Amino acid sequence: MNSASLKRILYVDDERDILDIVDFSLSQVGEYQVQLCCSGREALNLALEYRPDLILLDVMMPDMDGPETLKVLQSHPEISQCPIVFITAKVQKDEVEAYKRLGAVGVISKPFDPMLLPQQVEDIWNQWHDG
Amino acid sequence: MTDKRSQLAERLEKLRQSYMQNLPGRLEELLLCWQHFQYGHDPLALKQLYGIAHSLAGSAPSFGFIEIGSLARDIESLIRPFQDTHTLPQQDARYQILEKLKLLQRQVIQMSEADSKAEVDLLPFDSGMQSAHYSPLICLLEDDVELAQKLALQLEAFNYRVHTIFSPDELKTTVTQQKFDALLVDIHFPLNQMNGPDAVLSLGEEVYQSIPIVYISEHDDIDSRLKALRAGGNAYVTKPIDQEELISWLDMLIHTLPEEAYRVLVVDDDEIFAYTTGSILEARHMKVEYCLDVNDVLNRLRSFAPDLVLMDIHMPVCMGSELTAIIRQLSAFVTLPIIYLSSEVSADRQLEALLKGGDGFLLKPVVPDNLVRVATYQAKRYRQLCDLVVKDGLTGLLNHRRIKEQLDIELERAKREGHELSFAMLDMDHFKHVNDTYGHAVGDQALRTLARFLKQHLRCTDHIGRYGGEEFVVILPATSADEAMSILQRLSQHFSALVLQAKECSFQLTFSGGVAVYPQFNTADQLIHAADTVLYEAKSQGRNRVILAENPNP
Repeated sequence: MNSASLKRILYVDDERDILDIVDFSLSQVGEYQVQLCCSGREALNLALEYRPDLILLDVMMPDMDGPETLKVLQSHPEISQCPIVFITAKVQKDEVEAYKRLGAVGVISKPFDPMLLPQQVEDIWNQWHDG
Repeated sequence: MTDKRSQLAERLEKLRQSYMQNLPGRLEELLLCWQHFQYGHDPLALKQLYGIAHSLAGSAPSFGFIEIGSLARDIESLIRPFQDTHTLPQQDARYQILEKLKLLQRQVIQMSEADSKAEVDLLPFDSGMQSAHYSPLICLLEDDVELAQKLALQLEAFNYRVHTIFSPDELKTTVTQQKFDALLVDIHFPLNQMNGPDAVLSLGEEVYQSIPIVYISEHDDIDSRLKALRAGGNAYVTKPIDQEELISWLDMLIHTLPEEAYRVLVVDDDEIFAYTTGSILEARHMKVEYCLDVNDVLNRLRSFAPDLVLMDIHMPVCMGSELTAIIRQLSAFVTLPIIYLSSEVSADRQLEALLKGGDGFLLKPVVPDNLVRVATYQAKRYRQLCDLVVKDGLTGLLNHRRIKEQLDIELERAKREGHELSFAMLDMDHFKHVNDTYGHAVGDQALRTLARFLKQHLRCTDHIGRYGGEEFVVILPATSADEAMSILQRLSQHFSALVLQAKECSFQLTFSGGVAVYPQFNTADQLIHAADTVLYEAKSQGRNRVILAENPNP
């Protein structure tokens, strides 16, 4: 669902701690609607059900990692238009390019500041939406 | 702060607390992985370690644990090259990884201790460490203006700060507004409804039980003393006030005299356990050294001179109890406290260990609080015991033999480190006259006063000893001739301004001094001889002065 403003976010990460703090960050500080997901495998079903405006995807996950999950999501027409942002440990510039070539619209690095994360997400959304 | 923001802060804090609760557990996982990798030779354990470090690096800073996150990232970076190339880290790399793990462990321990302390205002453990130049603040409640002024002056001469109030009514507000290190309270206030003890009682039990209180009174009867005791009195001093006695009490109740931190030697071949134990004590400001190799123990004991040894009972080469027996073969270490850390539960084995010279047992896993308490108690007792042998009974300064030994030690250090060292001999002026006029008790008091004065006004790196009857010695490491002269001349002025009191008489004292400096004089004997010679000069020239020995080889 591509609305003009960012409202609904799906966050995928296997780590409980990060899920908690992202939930806090995006829903309390950022005032978005947030759906949490703890594995790549469940991400597709949840995405289809929840219809997020944007998906945040952790890169390092056991079983299905970030890039694999992205592939699955993008092969599904109903959700392939949804922008996907990778979350990963401090990255080099060329790694960002590599992730973008895979199909991500942006990369956010860990560790992040929970007070600043909403703005980072908003900025990427605006860039993608206007671009 | 707006409502919304404080709500957010509260929720973030809850998340933070929850994350923090899990940190010790994750640290343990890390250490277990390391053990499996290093000692169990399991390469998968390294991979697991990498995973945990990666996770910590990515999450800890988000919860505000920047340092922990940073250390975790360092560990991650150290391991990554080996993950990529499918090789294993060797000696150097392993050492580096272990170092980071130790730092991380220390962080986690400090963090969880700091947090538990935040809840309850615990009195700090007496780890033997005090700030050397802190000036304790005393609240003096005294209606006799003249006496109040006199007391304040005397106390200030000994590095106390004094805030005086003249009426019991003022006590409560005064004590609420400022934090005092002690209260000095007169008992009788004839013009007031409340007396001293009543005023103190009105502060509430929580307050008056938590602060040292010295009562002053004209009366010496049991009833007055009881009243004082029941109103939180820790000491009771009768008028006319013996300055020495008062200050003795205040010093003791406030622990103002600086002491070196307790030194603990941890003897254990298990590095991780040793560092866990050690870092608990270091967090309480004790100085810790580690001995991981049995062959090293005697050397470390000699060079580090610990106040306490913590030893694992199971060591390679020999049992802990055998090692203890070997240590006890050396006369210097016969009384050194040795506490075993052990998972040995068998009462027979424990008894055997104690019979072979150990002083106590702590069971593993060690409870940090218990460890600190036991270590503090043992180290403190050992210090006290050593003091008896090493300190002069009257003044509490180092005795003749010990100060000479200390001069050798400091001279050695000065030579090694290329610093100057100043050595001073001080002699009380007209001491025989004081003894003859006022009696030996007063003479003793005068000596103690000078001793305390020197201790209060010199630095904690300086060494002070009583060399002879009325002769004192001061060793000033890393101090030039100019600095030493400046310090001693200032001391001389301040000391001569003190008005000392003994029962009904008041009098003033001065001292003469001779100073010699290394490297102008090269050996301990030369320094002593030179300082002594110019001290004699100072006396001949009229006393109450400090003279510097001339450079023999200009």
